[in-house]
Amino acid sequence: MRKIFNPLYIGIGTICVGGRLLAQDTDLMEVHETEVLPIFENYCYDCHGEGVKKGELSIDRYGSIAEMQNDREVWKRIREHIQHRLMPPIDEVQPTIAEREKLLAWIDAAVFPVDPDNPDPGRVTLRRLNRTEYQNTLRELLGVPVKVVDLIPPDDSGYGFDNIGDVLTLSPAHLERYLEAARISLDQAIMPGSAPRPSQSFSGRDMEGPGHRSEDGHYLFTSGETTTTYKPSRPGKYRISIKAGGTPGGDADPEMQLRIDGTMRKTWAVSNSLDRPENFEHELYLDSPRERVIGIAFTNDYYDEKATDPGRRDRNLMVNALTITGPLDAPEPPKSKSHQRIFVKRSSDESDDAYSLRVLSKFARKAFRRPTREGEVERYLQLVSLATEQGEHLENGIRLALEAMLISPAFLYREEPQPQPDEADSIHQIDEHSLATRLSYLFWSNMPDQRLMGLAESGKLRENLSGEIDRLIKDPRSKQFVSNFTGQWLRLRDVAASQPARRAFPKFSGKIRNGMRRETEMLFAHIIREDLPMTTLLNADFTFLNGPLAKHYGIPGVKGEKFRKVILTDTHRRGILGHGSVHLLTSYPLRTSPVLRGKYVLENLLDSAPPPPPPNVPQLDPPNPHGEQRSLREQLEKHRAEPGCASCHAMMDPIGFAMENFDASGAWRDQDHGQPIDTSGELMSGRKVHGVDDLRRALVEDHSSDFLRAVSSRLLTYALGRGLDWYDKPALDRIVSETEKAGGSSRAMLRAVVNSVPFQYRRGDS
Amino acid sequence: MTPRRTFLKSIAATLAMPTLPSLQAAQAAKVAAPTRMAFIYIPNGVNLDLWRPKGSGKDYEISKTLEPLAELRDHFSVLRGLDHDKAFANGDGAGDHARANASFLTGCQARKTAGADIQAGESVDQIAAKQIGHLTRLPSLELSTDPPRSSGHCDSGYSCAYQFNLSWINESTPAPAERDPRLVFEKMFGSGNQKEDSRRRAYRKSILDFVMDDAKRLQARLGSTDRGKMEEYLTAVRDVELRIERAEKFRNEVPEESRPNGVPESYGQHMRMMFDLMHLAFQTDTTRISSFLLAHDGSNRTFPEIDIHSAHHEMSHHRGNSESLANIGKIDHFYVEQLAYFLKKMRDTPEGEGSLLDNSMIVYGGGIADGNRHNHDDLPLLLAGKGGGTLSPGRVIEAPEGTPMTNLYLSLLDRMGAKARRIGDSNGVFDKV
Repeated sequence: MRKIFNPLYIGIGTICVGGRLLAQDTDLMEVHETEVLPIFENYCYDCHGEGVKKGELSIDRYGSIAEMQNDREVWKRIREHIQHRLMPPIDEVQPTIAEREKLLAWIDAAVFPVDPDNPDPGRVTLRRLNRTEYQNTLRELLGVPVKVVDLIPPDDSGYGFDNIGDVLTLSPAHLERYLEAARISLDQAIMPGSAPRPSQSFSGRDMEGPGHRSEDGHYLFTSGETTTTYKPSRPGKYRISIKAGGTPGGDADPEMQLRIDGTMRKTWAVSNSLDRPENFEHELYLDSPRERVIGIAFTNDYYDEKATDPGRRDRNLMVNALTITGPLDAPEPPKSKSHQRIFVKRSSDESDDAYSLRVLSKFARKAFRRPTREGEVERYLQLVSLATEQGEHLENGIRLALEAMLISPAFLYREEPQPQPDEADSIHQIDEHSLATRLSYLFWSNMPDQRLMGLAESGKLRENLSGEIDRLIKDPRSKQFVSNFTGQWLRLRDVAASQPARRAFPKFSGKIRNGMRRETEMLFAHIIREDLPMTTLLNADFTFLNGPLAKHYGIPGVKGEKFRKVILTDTHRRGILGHGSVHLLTSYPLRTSPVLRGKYVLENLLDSAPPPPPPNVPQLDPPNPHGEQRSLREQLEKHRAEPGCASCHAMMDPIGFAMENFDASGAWRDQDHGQPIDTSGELMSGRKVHGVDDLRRALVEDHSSDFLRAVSSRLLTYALGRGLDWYDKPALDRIVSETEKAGGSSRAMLRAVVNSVPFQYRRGDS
Repeated sequence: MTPRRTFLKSIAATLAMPTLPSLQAAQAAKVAAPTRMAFIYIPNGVNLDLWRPKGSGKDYEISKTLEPLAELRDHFSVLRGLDHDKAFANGDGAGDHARANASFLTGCQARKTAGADIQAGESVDQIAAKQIGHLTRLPSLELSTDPPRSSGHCDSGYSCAYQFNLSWINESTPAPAERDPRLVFEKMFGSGNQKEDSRRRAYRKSILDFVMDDAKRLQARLGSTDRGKMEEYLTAVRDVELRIERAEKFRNEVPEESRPNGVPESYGQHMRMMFDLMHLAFQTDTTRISSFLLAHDGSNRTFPEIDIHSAHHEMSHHRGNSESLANIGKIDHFYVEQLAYFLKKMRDTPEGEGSLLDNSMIVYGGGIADGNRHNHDDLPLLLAGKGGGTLSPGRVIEAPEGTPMTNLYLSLLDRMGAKARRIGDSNGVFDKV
């Protein structure tokens, strides 16, 4: 394959860039006049110069390099069209490869100049926690497994990820749900006021006696009693609560009696309707722990089908549920661990305010991921007293303040304080708390733990960075990184929505599909935890399978549901090109798509996404009057004869064809519709490949550096929460070179990302 | 910082609330029924041959795809000749699905960015919501039956924000749609425990008041882009405060029997359940404005319910293939069936002298005409309801060539009593509806 260039990484080649900016500009202008302009004139000006401006583009309207730099978006497109040979159109005279490279190199040096010694860290927009991070953070902070992710509106994504600051907008709908989520989570984590008493509930449908039982409860349509047995834990006061509703008849509401061992203890008239059950409560003393029969009786049945009011013909009672709570007079049971973690022990001489402040300060430091500011927590005391003045328990007051903290911007957003936030030239290292937060959200999608916070507090995080990276990756929470990063980079999150058609693949199941995602995640996790070379993802001679998936792949000897490492003696399944997850993602329900497969590999593994198809693509295959079916390969070959399609499809299709032995369900096949499969093709480099083994070898032998760049750029995007731009080139170059220096080590790459200038610094806004 | 004052105020409001029956009586006594407006989106274009009716004016022959609407013939019009020019590339290259979705209610050219600076425009429903939303408990209701989002790879260099949102609060903040019927119901009517809801609202107002100050302090420490982010937060805080006030003011009887459980398995059922909720929202005057994304443009859904196992978007690039075209027609028909279900329900709900449908204006259609050509002119569109007597349905209405869809929106806004001089690319008012 011809070396696939990426817009960000063209070497500057023969052009010498040195000295100060001005001198450089002069040199570049000289090169422009003597070497670059003639190429443009020769190949481009027929349509884009000398007064002609096809597609609204004229290349000769720029009088200086500065003007070009002011129009970088246009130059990015010019560059892309030259690079991908989209221009000149294929039926026009083409520049030589050397000429194209000269143009690209000059554009990079002139329009997109970077200074590796003085790099621009760029600027990350204030990031809101996305809903995954938000839920993880709540769990960590409160110590209970809250489930609120479906409550929050879905996050939009940009640059392929859902943690991009610019795109994480906040609508009123979000805020309403954050309020709701905060309430639900605190309900689960803490129990302000008196601790609840033990209680036991019985559903009406599980109770004995005459009548009719349904989902809703026990329905008594003639006088009678429904019963259950209950054994109090000890003598004491108990509260009996009956949830019931009824239908009136004649001039009375149904009468309901509570009976203990047959003795009537309380009577109610039930006036609420069946669809609005209410609770009827009674407290009583049970004097010994022996078993009792608790009865609920309907005592005044009435039925007159001729009654004038149809709503008063039939008097009935519905018992939905019975709850017995107690003993109410025993000492309070201890509260949950999560409660005690937040409501620390109060000393006897501590005032309400002092205690509240202590609880809130501890919580705020964790929730805001930084030391609290002067007066910041004190302010929250206003909310505490607001509630206590209404007669609420002090803990309820504190709870109100906690709820406020959970929707405060200090919690929802990741502030990274910087001096001179509006000075574009002012570049500062982010403080250690911000660094701790960047690290923990990168590797855990979660808040920093105590150790990270402690290191930041004492200013020792940077000196311990390397060890901390190792620790974060080793921690089970890094599962979040594996699944969120690969879920989006390799699109594994989409696997669940891939639907090989049942009628074509009857043996395929949801279980196999889930297993496929698991397989790829486990391989990636293994690579980063064991510090294997990143390229292992392309050519691992092992994978992770369970019985059903191994069977689907035709690999013998793996039994049971548990996933385990399996050495691959058969080469076809080696590396991600052999993973069912990828095959599913690049297929339609009924067939594979070589185009999607080629695009997937180029875009995600080689960082060389072909541009989208030009507008008004000609028809791939006009309706055939004779009903002959052309094979997919024939159709695509015809397609490639179209000048507008050729350059990109020549890149994509051969890659996809090499993978054609994997069908749309990820199973191996030797034939398609009775025809043998032709997996041969020629990559752009001219290298001939025949099947997936050849393709894999080509990727590893010719493109490992492209692959490392692909992973690095996605990693950096994910880590920063912003899209990369031309000025990130030096940072990326460095990540790749450090990885290569370390033999492709995945850990080296992760370290290099963390140590990179954009991860460690930020500049002011322009 | 004034949480205490607001708190006491809102507690007072709670106590001063009239009891429910008298509130209902007051509502019933209202003279004219309000006009409602809804926008329902179908993705990927349609099979135009099967969609377009033959003939014009009142004497047209209903098309195969629109057959489920035959008995509603007097209640809707087929619109011809309306365009969304801003969904075309206009120099931005590929990405017709993202643009079709983003321009449908905004009439704006979505800025081509994968994230750094998303920009569409304020959508017609939100323009109306801002002006008349205070009259109901919810200013507007945004619904969707798209599956949960996954990996975040969207159309050709466009951020996913464009493809999954119809409604935009302003040019950079989309109004996300709700897909879980249970949550929609709670949004409309609360948890069912009115007393507790009321208590909670009082405290929430205090919390919001409080964090507003937090946000302002933070804002003062930030650079300009980030200050914009905090502005977005502050806007949301103010808006939620208003929502809380409205929830106190408009307390409807909670129709517990309609409380849904969650997202149903089947797509058809899911859509009908959302339509039920939209109907309920209109009937109870919980809101007068709604948008409903049946599926985002580019959706690759399959339709096992009608035995279609190929992916919708893939098929929509039909290349003239007759099997694909037939399947697209089946999908279009399936969507129209759901619409018919909704419109019938609206028609069968009496209100004032006529029906709920008579007092509504329902736009149904998509931002792509033919999925293979990706063209955005002469879009497949229907307009149902009588708009409180201001619309005269039952026709094929032909707009002059090149009429922006937004010209229709201006005319609808006018009927809602909302004012706007322009929406996106509008260049006049198309009121011959």
